[in-house]
Amino acid sequence: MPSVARHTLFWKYTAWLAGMVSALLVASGGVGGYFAYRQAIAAQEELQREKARSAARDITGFIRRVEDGMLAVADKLRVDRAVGIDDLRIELIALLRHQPAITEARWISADGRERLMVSRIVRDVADSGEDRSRDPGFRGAQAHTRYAGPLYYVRESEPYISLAASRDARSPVLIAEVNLKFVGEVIAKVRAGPEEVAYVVDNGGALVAHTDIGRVLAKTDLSALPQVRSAILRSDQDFARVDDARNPEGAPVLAASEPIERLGWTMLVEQSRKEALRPVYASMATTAALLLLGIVAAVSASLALARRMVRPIRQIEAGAKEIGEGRLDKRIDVRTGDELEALGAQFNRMAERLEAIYTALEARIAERTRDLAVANESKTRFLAAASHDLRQPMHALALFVGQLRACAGSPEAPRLLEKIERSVDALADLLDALLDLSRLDMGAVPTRPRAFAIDPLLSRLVAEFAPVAESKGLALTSVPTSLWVCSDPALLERILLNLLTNAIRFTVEGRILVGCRRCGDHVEVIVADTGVGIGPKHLPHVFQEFYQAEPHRVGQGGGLGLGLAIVKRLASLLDHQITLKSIPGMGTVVRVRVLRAAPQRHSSPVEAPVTRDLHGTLALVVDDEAPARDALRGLLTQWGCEVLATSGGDEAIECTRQRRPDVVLCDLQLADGESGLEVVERLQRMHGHGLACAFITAESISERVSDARSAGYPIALKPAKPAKLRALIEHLCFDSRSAAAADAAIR
Amino acid sequence: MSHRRAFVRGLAAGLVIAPFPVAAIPHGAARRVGWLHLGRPWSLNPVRDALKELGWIEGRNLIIDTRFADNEIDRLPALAAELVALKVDVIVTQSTPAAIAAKNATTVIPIVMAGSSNPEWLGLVASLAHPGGNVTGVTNSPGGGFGPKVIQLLKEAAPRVSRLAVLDREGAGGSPWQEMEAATPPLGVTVLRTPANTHAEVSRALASALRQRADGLYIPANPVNTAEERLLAEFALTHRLPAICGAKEFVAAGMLMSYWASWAAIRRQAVVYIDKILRGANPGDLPVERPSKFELAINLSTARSLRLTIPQTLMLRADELFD
Repeated sequence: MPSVARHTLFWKYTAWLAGMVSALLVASGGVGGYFAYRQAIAAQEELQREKARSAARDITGFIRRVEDGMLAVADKLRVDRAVGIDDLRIELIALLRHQPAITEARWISADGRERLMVSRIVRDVADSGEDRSRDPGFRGAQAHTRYAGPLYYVRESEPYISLAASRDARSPVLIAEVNLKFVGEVIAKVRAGPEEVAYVVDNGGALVAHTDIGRVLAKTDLSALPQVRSAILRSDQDFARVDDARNPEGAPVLAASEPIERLGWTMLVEQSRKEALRPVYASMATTAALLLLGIVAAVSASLALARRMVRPIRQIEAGAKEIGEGRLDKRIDVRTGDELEALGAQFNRMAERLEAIYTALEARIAERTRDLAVANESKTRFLAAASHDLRQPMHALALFVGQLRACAGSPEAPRLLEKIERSVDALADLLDALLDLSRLDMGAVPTRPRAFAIDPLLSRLVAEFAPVAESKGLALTSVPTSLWVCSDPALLERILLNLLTNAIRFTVEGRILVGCRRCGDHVEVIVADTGVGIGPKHLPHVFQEFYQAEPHRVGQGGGLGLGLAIVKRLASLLDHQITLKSIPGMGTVVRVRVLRAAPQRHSSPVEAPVTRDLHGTLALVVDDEAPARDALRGLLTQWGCEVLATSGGDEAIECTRQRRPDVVLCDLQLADGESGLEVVERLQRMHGHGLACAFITAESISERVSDARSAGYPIALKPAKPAKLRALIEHLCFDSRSAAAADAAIR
Repeated sequence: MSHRRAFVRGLAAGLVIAPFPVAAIPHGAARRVGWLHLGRPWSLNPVRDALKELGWIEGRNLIIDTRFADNEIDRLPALAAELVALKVDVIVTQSTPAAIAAKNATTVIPIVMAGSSNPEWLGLVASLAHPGGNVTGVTNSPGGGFGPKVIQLLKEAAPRVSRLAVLDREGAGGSPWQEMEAATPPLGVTVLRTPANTHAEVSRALASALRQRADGLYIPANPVNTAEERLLAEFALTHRLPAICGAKEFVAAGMLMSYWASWAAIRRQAVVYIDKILRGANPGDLPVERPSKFELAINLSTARSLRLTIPQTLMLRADELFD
């Protein structure tokens, strides 16, 4: 499943890093900012409280000073009991002089009668005799020495209070009307910041004094303001923060208050929240700017860091991609000293291994190709050899036939026939050898190993080759032995036959020995000769097919150089080890190692083929090719058989309708794709399944052949040697019908 | 985190240490103040100084245009119109006629009265507490009961005064003599009415005073009287009349006494109004102030020449003594 690979790692890392750092910065900045805000407000309120306190002290002091002045006068006048009006007037005028805030002063005698009134604005009045005994000022002063009255307005716009002072309950009382504009002057000294005001309210919330005198003259009532209300109502000293303090215009303010207990007033200092917090907001703006800067720095740092982190990963990715695309020589060079470097190294190792594998594969391919080339070479050699060797007998054959035609009936005819026969034999042998080789290569040769005595086999071989050896003047002997071996007798015979053929062929003079030797669990069958030997440079190739060490020595009788190749294959099929030693000029020794077997009492010796009489046998020949059919008919007739020669299945059925043939010889492949097997089966159905049938075919390996073989019919291959053919027919007629026995006879 | 703490500390320290001025220096286009005065030209330097304290510096953010009528009332309307044409930001009037002329010249440009009598009665303001219109400022009317006070003071200095000529304008805040006539019997003084509504009438009033055998003079501060300072002082001296008036300058010129609202205090207060209005306050919302400081001035050499002994009570009260 293809995966979508995008190059987002860098941005992911950057986003993560920058995001984290920025979040931390924002969080810390936010928290810091919040606390700074709270602290600034607290600091500002503390400052205001301090101002309020000091202003309250000043006002209290102011009032106290007025009262003290009054008390001083009261004291002074009390001492002189009988004080005249003039002295009184002087004292009061002096009081007015010293206390600019006092607009009017009255002297009330101890019994409550007004004795003198001195004013700045209106006419002084002496001895008005007015009864002031019920005045709260009079009473208050007599009771508590000092008295401060409530706020009142003169002429609607001027705030005044009455202060009264007296020494004791039985003394005269001094009452003064105090113009509160002078308190405003005290307040004006409060160091007010921008948009900061200080003012005093009485216990009802009415404005008594203000940095802006106009507000006082306007008779403002501030009792509606939350901070005023709270300040008036609170009974303790502790300042309770009023969060929704507002000024009369409704703007939020920071407020602090302080009671002026002497008069029941409250001093308040207010500053617009915006102004009070301006520096805080400025610092928060700075923090925000720094934060922004920090975030920018974080992003830059993240970009750089992400790049550093991603680079080795990208290198590995690129390297892996190249390796994946087949460039196995690419190596990843990542030196980060950590897991990434290890990863890169792993990739490199993988690439190395892949490279090695590829190289090995290529080497093997090269080897195979070489093998193929060698095989090709073999094929070429074979074709060369075959075409040469096949042509020879063919050529000779052609010539002989021509010659025969020319001199049919002449006394040379039999000799020519013999030569023709020999050529045919040679061809047949060649083709046999080829067939065997190809069959062995295909693994189409079954092995049937069993225990048997080897001596009879050796004797028979020696007997067969005796005439040839004798004709060449060679001594061929076999050493008798009682050893038993476990092998396939037919195939072992074939091996020894080939070895002997070679021995005889390549020995000019001397002897050839065939014998056995016991070797522990094995038996070595030895074929030794005193022949020309095989040179060391030929030794490694000697078992190769079509290899002939000295082609000129082959001579008549042919040989495609397949003998030893067949031997080798058969030996490996039977799992017999073959060793060959040879000294040029001295001879050659070939050993075949066979597994030893225990001797058995009832042995069934390999039967030698016996020739029997075929006269009177009815043979059915089915072959669509006329020459082959005629040739076979001729041969069979010579042997004494009665022959029915047909070209196809229908004809065969027709011919044998009346008579049951003794033996059927059928070609596997007939005209029009007709199968010989079908024909045979029809015949079997017609004549009963006991019909003796055999196939003759030119095909060596095909499905038809294996079908026929597996059906149990013996098969003879064209060109079939007459002797073999005869043996087959004899077997079909006389011997048991088992395919195994027939096969043994064929071989 | 440490820089944050340092910030806050610095903040708190700055708030405590830095002495903020009462008002920050204003910025923006220069403001124009028009000063309209009935009387003679004067330097206005105390006004300039007071404005500078509040952040208004002439030449930088302040321009002062002055118009003086030189005691000619008829010139005031034209002068007021000139100031209006100059598009001043505020007109300050010195003396009541100037205030009236300014009010007639504009109902938009704010007007600050640096002393006027009975602005309510004159219709300059709706009420002292809430003026309402474009006029506000300081009135120098102390309110009722002042006349008798002044007479009492004169009587203290010159006890033998029994027939007091009061030189005042008619129709200015009702009849000025009525209150005094009601209050003076206890003082043992007969009030003689000698009205002088214009400059021309001053001499006639004085002649009338002589004819009525006045042995004392009360010359309240009003624009007419203020203009005739020299004439009145000389008259008082020539005819050896103890006189009390409403201007320190008269006493310096030879009159015996004066008791009136302190011009310095009024001027100072007017500057506060100017500052407030220049900073955007609405004149209609600024209450009119009354004077709270009154000054007593005595000319001792005049007292000596009139063979008067100033009693201790008066001496105590006196704010300024001329010799």
